[in-house]
Amino acid sequence: MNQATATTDPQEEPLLEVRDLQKYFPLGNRFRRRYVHAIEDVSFSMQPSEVLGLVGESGSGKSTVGRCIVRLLEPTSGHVYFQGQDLATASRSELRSLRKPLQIIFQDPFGALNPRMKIGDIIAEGMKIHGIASGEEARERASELLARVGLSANHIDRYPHEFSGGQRQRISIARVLAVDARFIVADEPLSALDVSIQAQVINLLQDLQKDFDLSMLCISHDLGVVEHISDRVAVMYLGRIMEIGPKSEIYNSPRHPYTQSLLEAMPVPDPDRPRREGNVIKGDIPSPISPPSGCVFRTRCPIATRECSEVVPPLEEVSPGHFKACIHQ
Amino acid sequence: MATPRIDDPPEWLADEFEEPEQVIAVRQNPWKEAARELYASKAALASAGFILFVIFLAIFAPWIAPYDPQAMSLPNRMLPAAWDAGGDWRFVLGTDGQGRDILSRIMYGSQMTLIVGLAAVILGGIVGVTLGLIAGYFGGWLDALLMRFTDLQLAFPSLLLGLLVMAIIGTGVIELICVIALAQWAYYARVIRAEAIRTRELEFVQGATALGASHRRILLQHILPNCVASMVIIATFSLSYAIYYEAALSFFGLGIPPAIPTWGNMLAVARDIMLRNFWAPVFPGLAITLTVLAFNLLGDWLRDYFDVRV
Repeated sequence: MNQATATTDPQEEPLLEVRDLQKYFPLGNRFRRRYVHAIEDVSFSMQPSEVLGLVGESGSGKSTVGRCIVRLLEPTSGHVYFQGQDLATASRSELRSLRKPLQIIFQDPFGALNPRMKIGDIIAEGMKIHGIASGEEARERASELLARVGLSANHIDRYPHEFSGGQRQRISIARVLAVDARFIVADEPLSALDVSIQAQVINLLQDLQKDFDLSMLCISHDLGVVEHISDRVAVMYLGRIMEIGPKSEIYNSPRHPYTQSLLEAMPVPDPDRPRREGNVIKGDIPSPISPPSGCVFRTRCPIATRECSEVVPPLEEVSPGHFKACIHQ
Repeated sequence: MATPRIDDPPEWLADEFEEPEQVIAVRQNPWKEAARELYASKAALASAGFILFVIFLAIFAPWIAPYDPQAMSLPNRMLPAAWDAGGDWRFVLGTDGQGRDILSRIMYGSQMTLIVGLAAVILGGIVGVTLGLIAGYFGGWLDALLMRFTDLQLAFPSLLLGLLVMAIIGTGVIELICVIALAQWAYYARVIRAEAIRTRELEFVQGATALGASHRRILLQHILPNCVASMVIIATFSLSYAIYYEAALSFFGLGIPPAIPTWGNMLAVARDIMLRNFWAPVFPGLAITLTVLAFNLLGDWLRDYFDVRV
């Protein structure tokens, strides 16, 4: 699995490296224990100021990956190295300072802000926790950040309920910028927003990513969003990475049948584009409680053979930096 | 890296792309709006008015009470209400067995009733909210342990427990407050635990964890403020329970020492002369009933008021 950690530029030290990450959620009682295999053996690494898009269906484990990275969930096993330090095994007190450069933006802009706190206090909270600024200084920085994310500095004394979804998402972004985040997990940052607002927020994210030189793991089920914002793309299915590689390769020459079907199902606003019907996936995603043996995608794969049920396909490099987990093709 | 920006919207769509700058004013002034909604509910308005009236009586009793509540006047023993046969308009609500003015005693009695009630509710609230927050937020064995304690507390008839404890530790104002708080904390613990579990999973709490906030900070800054609505509602109901407990324990002679006028004490004293002057227990009983009812109705209204939003 180690080959999967190879990156686009092998000389550079990766900013974040995820190695053999696993997360199982227990079900039932202690006598009849079963586990939801949320993520299995996920490995990838990211360079500074790189944007990796993580796509997959609902239930593919992509959000779990994001939450395990910032350790809002405890990984069952595996490692998350950030700037060389292992987050997955850090103690609570070590975690406190390790967490500062590693922040998360949530999907639901209505749940992500404490309804009883003023915007200024929400943004300043991280600065206070990490001793970056306090009092008047923190307030000043908060209003600068508000302006930076496209809100008015005089919104600082308002409460979250006074803002629309897009505005709240901007506040969430300001909040993570306040602690000088280097790496942001954006967990479906756009899917709760109107399409018109999505465009604004995605442009904002992109501008800030460049200006602050951020790395970003952009989790989304929207292939269009991911294509727009990412440098590289990873495709997940049932807790495993199916294919990972540079954006242009994933979109132009996908090598995994799952990626191919996803891309074909993606709506393209072009009436002249011929409809292809060869490779549409049928059925539902299997239960993660007892995932299929071998390749987890084989139950819905158009080209599955008997061997697919026997071996778990490793991620193989098909071209520099482009890996696929399929024994065929 | 050099991905193009999403194009600016075409002109005919520009209106829809404009993010509304105008903020959505859900609640401009929460006090003003609460007052308006209170005004719309006659029962709650009357209750709030009555509670304010009782508070007014308690504060100004020394100035407005016609007599010293302890002053005995043996010639005027067991007078009925002024409008009844044999009544005396100098003692509007009559007198008790030692000739003490019932109106004055009800006014002074409201002081102790409110002090004991409020202190017990605050003490029980602090204990219950703290334990509930800890149980709900940390979960696991701590939660299981604390919840078994509340089960134990709730399973025990609290009046009986109160009688037992008072019989052991003795009577007095502080003791009474502690006993009533003991009967109350479990309700807070139960409800606040549920609130803490609900709030703990919300994304702003997760976000605060990711920011590196301490447990203390998360509990005090993020979870506690979002439990205030429930706390206010329980406090209102438990204040009416506290008044009822105080009266019941004092009636059994285990509450406030008989020398201090409270509504419960007045009932206890009136019991002896009830057959000769039935007015004596009527007025303190009415005071208890109406105050408890007012707090209950106000609690009902508060519950509905907060419910609309949550």
